[in-house]
Amino acid sequence: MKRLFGFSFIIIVAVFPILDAAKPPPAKNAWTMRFDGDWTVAGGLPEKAMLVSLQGLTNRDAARLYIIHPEDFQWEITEPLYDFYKRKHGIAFTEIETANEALSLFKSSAKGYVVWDASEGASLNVAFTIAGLEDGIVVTEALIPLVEAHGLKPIDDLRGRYNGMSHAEIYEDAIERYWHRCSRDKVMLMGGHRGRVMMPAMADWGIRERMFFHELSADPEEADELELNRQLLEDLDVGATVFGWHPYGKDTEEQSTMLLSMYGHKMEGLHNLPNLSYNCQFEFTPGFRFTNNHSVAKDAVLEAEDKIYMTFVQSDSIGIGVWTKPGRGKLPFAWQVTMNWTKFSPAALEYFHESATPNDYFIGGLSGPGYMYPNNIPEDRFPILMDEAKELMAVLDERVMEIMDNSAADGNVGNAELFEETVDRYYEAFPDVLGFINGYGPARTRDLRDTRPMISYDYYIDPKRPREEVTADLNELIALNRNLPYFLAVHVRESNDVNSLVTVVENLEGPVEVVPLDKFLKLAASAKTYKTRYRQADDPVHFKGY
Amino acid sequence: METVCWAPFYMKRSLLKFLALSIAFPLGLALANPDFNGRWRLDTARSSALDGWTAMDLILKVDGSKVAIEHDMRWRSTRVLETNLVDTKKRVQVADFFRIEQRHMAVYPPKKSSSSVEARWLDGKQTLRVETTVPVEVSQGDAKIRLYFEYRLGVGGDTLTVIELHSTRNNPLVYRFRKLADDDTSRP
Repeated sequence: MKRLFGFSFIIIVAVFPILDAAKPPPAKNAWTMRFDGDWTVAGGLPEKAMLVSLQGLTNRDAARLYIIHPEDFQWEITEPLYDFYKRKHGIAFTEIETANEALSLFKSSAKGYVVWDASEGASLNVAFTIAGLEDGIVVTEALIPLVEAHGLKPIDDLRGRYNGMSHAEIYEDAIERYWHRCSRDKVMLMGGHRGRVMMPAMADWGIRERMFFHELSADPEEADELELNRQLLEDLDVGATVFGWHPYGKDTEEQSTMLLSMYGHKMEGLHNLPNLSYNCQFEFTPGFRFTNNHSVAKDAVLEAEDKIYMTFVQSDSIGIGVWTKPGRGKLPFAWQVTMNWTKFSPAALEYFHESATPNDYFIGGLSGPGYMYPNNIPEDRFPILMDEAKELMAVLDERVMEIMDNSAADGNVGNAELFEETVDRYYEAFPDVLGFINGYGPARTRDLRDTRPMISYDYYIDPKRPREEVTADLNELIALNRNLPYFLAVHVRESNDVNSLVTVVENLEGPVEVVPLDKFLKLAASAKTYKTRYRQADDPVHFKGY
Repeated sequence: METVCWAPFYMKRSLLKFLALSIAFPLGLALANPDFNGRWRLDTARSSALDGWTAMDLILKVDGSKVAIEHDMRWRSTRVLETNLVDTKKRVQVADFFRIEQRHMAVYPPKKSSSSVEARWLDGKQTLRVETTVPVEVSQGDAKIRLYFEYRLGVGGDTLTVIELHSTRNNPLVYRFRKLADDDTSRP
């Protein structure tokens, strides 16, 4: 009864901010631009950077400009979401063909321009920061005539300012000049692609929200950058969000995510996630409510048979990859939802929900109300963050939490285990879930407490691995885990296609049944054939930490 | 920057094996089949797909009845060096026998193990057969995999094919290597 009350309370608390904060509906007329895939510094980047900065400004007080990316862009949903806005929100989009046309329409949003230095990539991040604070758009030298033709005046000029300076020196200067004026509940880690290609498609959001942009390393071997990175994380408000992504080639995703988790902050990626400045202005459509495709009742009690129960989970953020690939719906699939999109991009979540097949099941994650590594979350922050996660899960009608801590892993191999005290904290924080899924690559943290199993992935499907080898791998796991029922959780990497997995399943040996994740956990609660295990002190680690 | 995966466990093991091999294979000793000796680079396009490794070399050293099979493995910036020392005259105990794991499977080597390994020359010393059984940890606890390898020297002596069978896997793993020149000191 206490639990029931608690759950109801969570739903009330969770739904009310969304209903209560009903803003005036976005304007029914908006504009759209189609980007190509050229993000080279020497080619398409300067104009795109200028346009996303203009997008951030013009979308500050109203939803005006939406960018559509090509089908092969990492975020494949911009076109389907564009259709969704037209269909469900009645938005009439006018397509803009050129940057000149965009400036004609939206130049009044900008007070001027900031010149960045194409020979120093970090100057673009500094220019983005200034643009957010001073209502500017960012341009290279070559674009100055174009923006001046529209009457825009210079705000700042970074050409030459950072010649010969290291990134640490550049960002130290930028922190000194601008950090005190920037948002403290959000920061933009504008890393990702570096060098010849940069892809700052998320910059509209950072500019709209007046964030500080940087690409400081989290690698202890770059101590001067790490120190500045830590300074920013320390200065952020409690529970802040780090948007963007770690800088490729400077540090690793594992280091970057571990570091921000140590401060109790949340990660929301990627650096090229587009249109948040537009998406954030929409609510769910009137009357819309998430209803997940539960295959079992919350209080159902199932009994596992002597079978191999297999379940598939995709966790690389639902907007990437498999969702738009052919074959979705042919197999039961669990999808880890980027839960914070209820705040930043509700239309996208509604789009996923409405386009879900009966075989698509949504789960919470990743580790909490954002991407975090739970072994590293401060103990006093853990319950607060997980309360936030529970609120989001209640809104999204989700009953399973997915956990990932790769701080000791080496990409998608190695140690993705949870310490026992971390497991304890999850069990305490989530009394009402059906269970937990852990890992990214394979892992061996497992438990069962009351009716809630914690199961780690026994297999990770590399999209490049030949399907006959995937089949052989899975058959070998089945041969090695002979005590039936065997519970085989499989993580499907973003760009796999479902049709190929259908063929894999058809070639598995033994009494295999592919089941939805909620049913899988219920069955796993009935027959604990898996060994309890937590991260051990002498388990191998790749990165020793800070 | 090179990092070693699973240090210090692998590092210590590698160092001990390196020292043991230095004693076991002094220069100038007669070789049983000198064509096997040398560094062999995996031809990834013609081999079973590695999983959780991006490249590998084998370094074979034959000395009388003893054969050292060294694996030089790479995964992104991570390097792993592991050697199995076998004997074609007698069954030997090998500590922490190294196998080319499919690292996206939840099948883990124990932290310490010892495997009884049998090796034999076949086909007029053109093939080296190695057999053993290794313990592994899986989600249901401890299990064992019986392993069977054939290292087949190609005609002409500049290709090597390794066929690996698992008692738990119906598909053989086939790795094809080409020999590197003696003065080629590159690593995978």
